[in-house]
Amino acid sequence: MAQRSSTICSRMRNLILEKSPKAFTEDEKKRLPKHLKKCESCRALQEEVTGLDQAFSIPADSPLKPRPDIRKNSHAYLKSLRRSSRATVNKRFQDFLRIKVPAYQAAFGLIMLAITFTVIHGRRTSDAPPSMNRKASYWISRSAPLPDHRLVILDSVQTFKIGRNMLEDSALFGIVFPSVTENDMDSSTMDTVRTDSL
Amino acid sequence: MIHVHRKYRRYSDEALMERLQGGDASSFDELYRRYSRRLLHYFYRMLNGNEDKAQDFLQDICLTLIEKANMYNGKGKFSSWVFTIASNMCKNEYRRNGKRVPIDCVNLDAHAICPVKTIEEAVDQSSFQDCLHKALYTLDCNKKNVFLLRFQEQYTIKEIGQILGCAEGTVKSRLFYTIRYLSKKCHHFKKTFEV
Repeated sequence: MAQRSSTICSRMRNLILEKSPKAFTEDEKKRLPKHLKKCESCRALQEEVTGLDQAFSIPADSPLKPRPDIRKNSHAYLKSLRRSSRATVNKRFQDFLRIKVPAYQAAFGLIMLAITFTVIHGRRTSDAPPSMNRKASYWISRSAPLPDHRLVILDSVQTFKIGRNMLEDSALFGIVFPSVTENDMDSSTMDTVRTDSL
Repeated sequence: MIHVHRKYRRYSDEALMERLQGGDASSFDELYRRYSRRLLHYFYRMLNGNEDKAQDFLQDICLTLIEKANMYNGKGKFSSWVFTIASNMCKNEYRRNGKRVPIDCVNLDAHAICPVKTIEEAVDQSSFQDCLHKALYTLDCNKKNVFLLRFQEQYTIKEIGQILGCAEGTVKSRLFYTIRYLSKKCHHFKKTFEV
C-alpha cells in the first residue's frame, strides 16, 4: 500500500514539475487536487512551484522594456539585406550578360542573315513583274502553271485599290497582264478587279 | 508602442516567420511585439540583472533572426527555435567570461542575499522576489536556463529538453536541484514560499 502511494506521489511530483497548471489535461486537473488533499509533501511542492510560477512570470507593468532603437536598427538591417540581395541578383545578371551576350549576338546575327537571305532570294526567284506590289505578286506567284496568254483588264477607276505601280502602268490603256487569270484571283478581290479575256 | 496591421495578429509565429523569409518587415514587427519583452526578461535574468547587456543581446538576436531567417525550416515551434538561439547566446557569454557572468551585488551567503530586517519585510512579496532572483543569479548557466524556461517561459520539460538539446531526465534533475537550492536560500520567506 505504502509502495503504491509512493508511486502515485512520484507521478504527481513529476506532473507538478513537468508543466504549468495551464497545460494540464482535464484528467490531470481532476486527479491532482484529489491527491494533494491526502499528501502533504506533494502539496508543499505544489505550493513551491506555484510560488515560483508567480515570482518569475513577467509582470505587465515591468519597467524593463526594450530600447526603441533596437527595432529601428533591425528594420534598417532588414532593408540593407534586401538591397544587398537585389544588388547580388543584378550583379549575377550583369555577369551573365557579359559572358553570354557575344555568343547570343553572333547566333542571333546568323539567324537574321539566314532569314534575310531567304526572303530576298525568294522574292527574286518569283515570277512577278518588277512593278507589281506585294499583293499582286502574291497572286501571280500562286498562278503556276501559267495559262496561255490571256489579258486581264482592270477597271481603271478601281485600279488604284490594287497598287500604285499598276495604276502607273495601266492608267491609259487599261491593264494587260499576260499571266493573271480569273481563277487566280481571290473571291474577296473580285469586286475590285474585273477580269475579261480577250 | 508598435503598430502592426491587424491581420498580422491573426497569423501564427510560423506563418510570420515564413513571411519574414520573404523580407516582410511587418511580420518582423509582429514577432518583435510578441517576443521582445519575453526575450529581454530572459536575457536580463540569465545575465544576472545586467540590463545593458540584456538590451544588447536582444538587439543581436533580432539581427540574427533577420539574417538567419532562412535557416528556420518550419518543422518545430518558432518559440522553441528562438529560445534555442537565445540560450546558445547566453552559453557563449558564460564561456567567454569563465564559468559565471560576474555578479556585482550578490553574496553567496543567504543572509546577504536576503537582507531581512523585520518580519513585515520578510513577508513582503517584492523582497521575496528580489531574494529569489539574487539566489538564481548564483546558479550556473545550465540550471538557470532550465529554471527560467520552466518558470518564466512556461515550457514543459520535454520542450526544454529539445531547446537545450539534453535528455528529459537531466532537465528534471536540474530543475529539482534548483528548486531545492532556492528554497534553501530563501528559507526566511517561509510564509510565502512553503518548503
